[in-house]
Amino acid sequence: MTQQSRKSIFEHIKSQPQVVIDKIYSGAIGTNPNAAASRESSYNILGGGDSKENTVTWAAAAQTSDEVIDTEKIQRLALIQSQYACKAIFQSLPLLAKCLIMKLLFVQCSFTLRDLTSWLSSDSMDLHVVIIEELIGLRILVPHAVTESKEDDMETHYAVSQNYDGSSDSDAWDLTKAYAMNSYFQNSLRIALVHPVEPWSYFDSASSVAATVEGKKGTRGPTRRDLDRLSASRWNEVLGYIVNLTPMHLFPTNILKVFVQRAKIMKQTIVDGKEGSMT
Amino acid sequence: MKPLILIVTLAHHHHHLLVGMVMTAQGYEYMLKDYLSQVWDFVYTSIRYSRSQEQALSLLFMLSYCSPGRGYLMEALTPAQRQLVFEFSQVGIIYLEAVTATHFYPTKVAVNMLFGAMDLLQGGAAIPSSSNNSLSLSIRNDDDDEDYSSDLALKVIVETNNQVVAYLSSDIHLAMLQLFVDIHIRMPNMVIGKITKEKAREAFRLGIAAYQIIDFLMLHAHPILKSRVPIVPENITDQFAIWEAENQRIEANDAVVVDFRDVDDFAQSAYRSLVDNLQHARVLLWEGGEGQRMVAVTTEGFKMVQSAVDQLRGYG
Repeated sequence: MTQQSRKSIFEHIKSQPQVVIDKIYSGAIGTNPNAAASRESSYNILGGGDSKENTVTWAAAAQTSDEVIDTEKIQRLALIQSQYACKAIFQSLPLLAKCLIMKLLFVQCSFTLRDLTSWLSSDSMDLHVVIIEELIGLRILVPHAVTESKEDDMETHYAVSQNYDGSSDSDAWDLTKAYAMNSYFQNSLRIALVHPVEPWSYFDSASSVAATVEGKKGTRGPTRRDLDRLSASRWNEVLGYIVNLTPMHLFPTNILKVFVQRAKIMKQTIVDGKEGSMT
Repeated sequence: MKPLILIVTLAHHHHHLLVGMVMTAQGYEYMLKDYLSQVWDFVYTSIRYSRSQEQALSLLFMLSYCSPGRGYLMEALTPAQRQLVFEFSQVGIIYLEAVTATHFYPTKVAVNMLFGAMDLLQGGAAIPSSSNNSLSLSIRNDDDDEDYSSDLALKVIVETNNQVVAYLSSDIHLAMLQLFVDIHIRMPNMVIGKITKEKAREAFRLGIAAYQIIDFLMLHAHPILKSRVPIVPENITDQFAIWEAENQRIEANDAVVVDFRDVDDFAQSAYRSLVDNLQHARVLLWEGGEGQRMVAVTTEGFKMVQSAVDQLRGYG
């Protein structure tokens, strides 16, 4: 199941436009895809600095609600979110992809696919091609606009291409094309590895809400045991709903109804009197 | 007596017009999946239809690093993420005390959605969360890893003589088993039944595949059988495959056979063009081939044949 979930999440991410993926990798903060400012800003935040020069793209989120979202809070949240997004994606990748990312994590300049693959033997090339394509699909590796010094020696390119597999794939797989690691991903993963934080931790230490709630209620939350029991019994009710064993009033919202129709688990139909009658 | 029966029937009729939801073949497939896959389908659908993809995915990633049983601030979420948390709470993936609650509690399922082990229900979280648990509400000390869901679990024993013994407490599990098992003894926590050809064929008609039934039986096999190879006896697996193949080998269609062999004024070219037209209209079920000028067509196809013949004769 986990393989399936990772696969479908990867496919889902790949189908998203670049801007959405960048938002995921940056925690939906920062409009400047060019890394420097964003990176500096993030490090400042991490170090307790007060750099807020980065524009916040969560204006959309703020607009949809009536709340006023504090800029610093958004920046903190974005920073934490981006770490977890990048860390989760990184952890879900195959070992070879992880190795490649770790090698490139602190590389600041662009590189060609030839650079990446030149040290490989032809035997392992196929595997690397799959991995690199996966990374390109996930926009972890993104085309670099200026190829700079890499647009030289076509002879070498030809030689490498031939060395690669001798097939016509070299057209689709242009080894001279310059790539760079997605700066958002690179930045967020670096922070995640160097300064890991607890999910939503900022809101615990900086906000007074958690303390207030604990102090005010004076009660404790549900235990793990309670949660296990609740989730199991609730899911049982969900399945009961699908097989018409759970009363509908247990699901006052139409969330489940919408889901079963979207997932084509159930369909709406008009049942005639004879068929509809259970008597 | 009569009016009473009438009222009951009408009431049911009315109810069904209001509800009007029936399970599809995909629904049966869904019901036979394992718990985590079912949950994942729900989560994935919610994410796909979320108003903000990036925020939905961010939430999913962060949930994977939460500690089950720990409360997290709702305030920390964006509006789109709050909506998702509410949706997840409706099906028990996340616990939310009330709609206005200040904290939400991810369950083990929520934490294990991306990285979780298959045997989630038998143990704790698969991914260790960060060690520094500075945030959130404290929870009662109950670190014992008791298996609370085992009482709810379905445990099935399939015997080589087609007999099925299942320990269960849920009506849903019973309903699932009844899809392909003929239950004849029912006790408070156990049922005994038999796998029969009729039941299997009923299941196939609903769109359930043999492999899904076998997967279901393996997934819910009694713990004492889990170490055995194979978990489901081979003869049962083969039997399902054979029954399914039988089902797929023969397809029953209402047909009309038209024999052109004795029709002298029907030229070979006209016959061929008719066959092509029938094929194109997807109404041709069988054709005799060269020298044997016979076709089997559906009832709609027969009308086409009639009009083609009439047309030819009219011109003739």
